[in-house]
Amino acid sequence: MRTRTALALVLGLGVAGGVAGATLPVARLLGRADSGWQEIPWPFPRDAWPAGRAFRCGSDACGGDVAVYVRPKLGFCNCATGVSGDSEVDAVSDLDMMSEDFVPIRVGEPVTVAGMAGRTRSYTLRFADGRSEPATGLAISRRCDVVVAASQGQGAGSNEAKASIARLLGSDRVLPWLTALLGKG
Amino acid sequence: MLKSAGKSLFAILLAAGFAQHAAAQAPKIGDPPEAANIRLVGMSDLQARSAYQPTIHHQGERYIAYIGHHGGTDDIPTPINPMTGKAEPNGTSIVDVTDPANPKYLKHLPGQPGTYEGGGAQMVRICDGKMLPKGDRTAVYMLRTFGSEAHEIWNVADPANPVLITRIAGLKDTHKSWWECDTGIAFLVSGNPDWRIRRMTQVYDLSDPAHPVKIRDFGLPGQEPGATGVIPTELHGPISTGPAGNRVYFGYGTNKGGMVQIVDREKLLKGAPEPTPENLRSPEISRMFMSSLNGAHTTYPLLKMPIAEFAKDKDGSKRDILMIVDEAILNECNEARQMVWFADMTVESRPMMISNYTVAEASGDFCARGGRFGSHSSNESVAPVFYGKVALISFFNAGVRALDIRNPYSPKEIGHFIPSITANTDKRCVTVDGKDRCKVAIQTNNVETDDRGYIYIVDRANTGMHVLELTGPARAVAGQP
Repeated sequence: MRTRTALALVLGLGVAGGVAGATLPVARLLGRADSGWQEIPWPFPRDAWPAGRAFRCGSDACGGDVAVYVRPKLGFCNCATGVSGDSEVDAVSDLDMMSEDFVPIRVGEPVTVAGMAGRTRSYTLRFADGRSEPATGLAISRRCDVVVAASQGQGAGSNEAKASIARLLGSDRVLPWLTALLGKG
Repeated sequence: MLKSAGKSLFAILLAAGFAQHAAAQAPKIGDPPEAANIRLVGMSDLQARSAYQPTIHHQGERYIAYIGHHGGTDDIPTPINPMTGKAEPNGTSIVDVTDPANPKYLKHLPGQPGTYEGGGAQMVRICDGKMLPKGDRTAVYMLRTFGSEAHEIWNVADPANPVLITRIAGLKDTHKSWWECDTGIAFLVSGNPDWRIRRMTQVYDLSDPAHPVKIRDFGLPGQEPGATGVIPTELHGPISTGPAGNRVYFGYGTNKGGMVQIVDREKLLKGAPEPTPENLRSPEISRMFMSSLNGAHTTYPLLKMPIAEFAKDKDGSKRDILMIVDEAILNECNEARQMVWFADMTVESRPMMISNYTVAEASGDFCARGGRFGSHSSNESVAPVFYGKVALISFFNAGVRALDIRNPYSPKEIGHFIPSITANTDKRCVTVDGKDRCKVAIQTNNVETDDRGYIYIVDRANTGMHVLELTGPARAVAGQP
C-alpha cells in the first residue's frame, strides 16, 4: 500500500512537470528525469506501426536491468473513453513484440504521464525455451492516439522501474518526440 | 501570330492548371463538384449531421433511405432538428428518395448522446416483416445501433413515425452489423465486456424481432474471456451469404493487421456456443492475412464471376472473388495507404490477392486537401443492376469512385464524384508544432446503391447525402439504358 502511494506520488509529480512543460523541478527532486536510461537500437522487425525508440537501464534507479520500448500509435485509441481497461493494455502495449505468450500477474493500475491518462499492468513473459521474465505494459492516450511502452527485464514490474519509465516518458528526451508525433492524424 | 496564340494558349493552360491545383488543395464553398461519368441527381443536407451508413429500402411503392449518424461534433454536439425545433443527439435520418431528384426528409430519430464515435446510431439495416420467418407481415423493421451501448429494432412501416420494438442492451462498442432478412439471423458487431477486445460478433436470431434470441458469441481464439497472450486483431464487420451460400466473410483490422476469415455459416450457427478456443476454431474454413499496414473494413463477396480472359480454360473460368476494402482513419495521409483489394477465393483454403485499386493521390493532391484520404467502404447491395459489373467505393476526400470489376484481376476506375463543400462541411485538423491546423474537405464515408441504379453517398464531415447516377461509358459498363 505504501509503495503504491509512493508510485502515485512520483507519477503525479511527473504529471505536474509535464503539464507545465517544465520537467526540471521533477528532475531535481528525483535526479535527472531520464537518468540511467541509455538509448539502444529498436530491436524488432517492422510491423503495423513505425518503429519507436528503445532504452535500457541497468541501475538501481530503474529497479535493476530493464529495457523499455516506446512508440505512439496514432488513431488507435477510443477517442471518447481513452484507455479504459486492462484488456486495452493487453491488446495495444506491444507485449507481443517480446513474447506472444504473456500472462498478467494482477489487475492494472491507473497512470498519468505528462497529462496523458491510461493504465499500466504487470505480466510474466514466457518463452519457448521455458524461460520467463517480468514485464510491464503501459498505455496512455491523448485524444484518439495512444502512447505505449512495453518493458522487460528482471527489474521490470517493480515500482522503481514503473516510476522510472514514467519519468523517462515525461523527460525532455522523449516527450518532445512524442508530442511532435501525436495528433498528426 | 501563331507563336503568340501558342503562348497565350500555354498561359491559359498554365493558369488553368494552377487554378485546378489550388482548387484541389483548398476546396471552397461555391466550387462545382468534381466529377467524371457520375452525375448529381439530388441531395439532402441530413440536418448537417455526420453520416456513417446509408441503407436504401424499396418499401411498398416508395424508396426510403435510412442513414446512420455518428455522434455530434465538439462544436455542435446536438444539432437542431428543423422539423421539431429541438436540439437532438445525432441518430438516424429517414429520407424518402422515391423521387431521387427531390429527397424528402421524413424523420430524425435521435441516438445516444455523445460526440463522434461516442454517440449517435451509426449502423442501420432494414428487413420487411413479410420476409422474416416470424415477423409481423405488415411491419418493416429497422435494426440500428444505439451509440456504443445497444442495438435497437424499430418498426418503420410508417417511416415518418417509427415505433420502438425492442432493445438489445448491455453491449459496448456496437458497430457494423449484418442481418439476413430471409432467416432473421443477425451478426451484431459489438463488445461483450467479458471478452478481451472492443468488438466481436454476437450472433442473434432476430426472426421474431420482438423476441431476440442470442445464439452465441464469436471471435478469434485468443479474444475470448480468460485467454492470455496475444490478442488477435478485432473485428470490423461481416457479410453473410445466408443459407444458400453458407458462408460468412469476416473482416478484421479496419486499417491495421488486416485479416479475412471465411466461416461455415451452418457450423457457426449450430456449433457448440461456449467460447472455447476449439469451439471458436470449429466453423473456420480459412484465413487470409493481409499486410499489417492494411485492414479489412468491408468484405464483399462476388461469387461465380465469369472471367472473360479465362473463358476457354478447361478449369477455373468462373472465380469466387472477395473485394476487401480497407478504412483510412488518419487525416492527411499520416498512415499507410488504405485501398481496395481483390482476392480469388475459388479455392477457399488458399485465398490469394490478385489485384488492387487506389485513387491516384496526385490526381487531386489528396494528401494536402485535408481530412482522410483512402478507402472506407463499398456498396453492399447485390441488386443485378451493378452486381459483378460495377463497384462503388467511398474514398473520403476523393469522393466516390466507380470501378469496372467485370475482370477483377484488373479493376479499372470508370467514374468519380467529389461533392462540393457547403457551409455545413466540418473541418478536419492535424497537430503541427503543437497547434491544430484545420482544413475543410469532403469526407465521403459510405456508399450504397438501390435496385434502380441510383448511388447514395454520405459525408462524415456533415455535408449530407448526395444521390448520384452513372453517365456515359460508366453507365454502359453497368448495362444501364
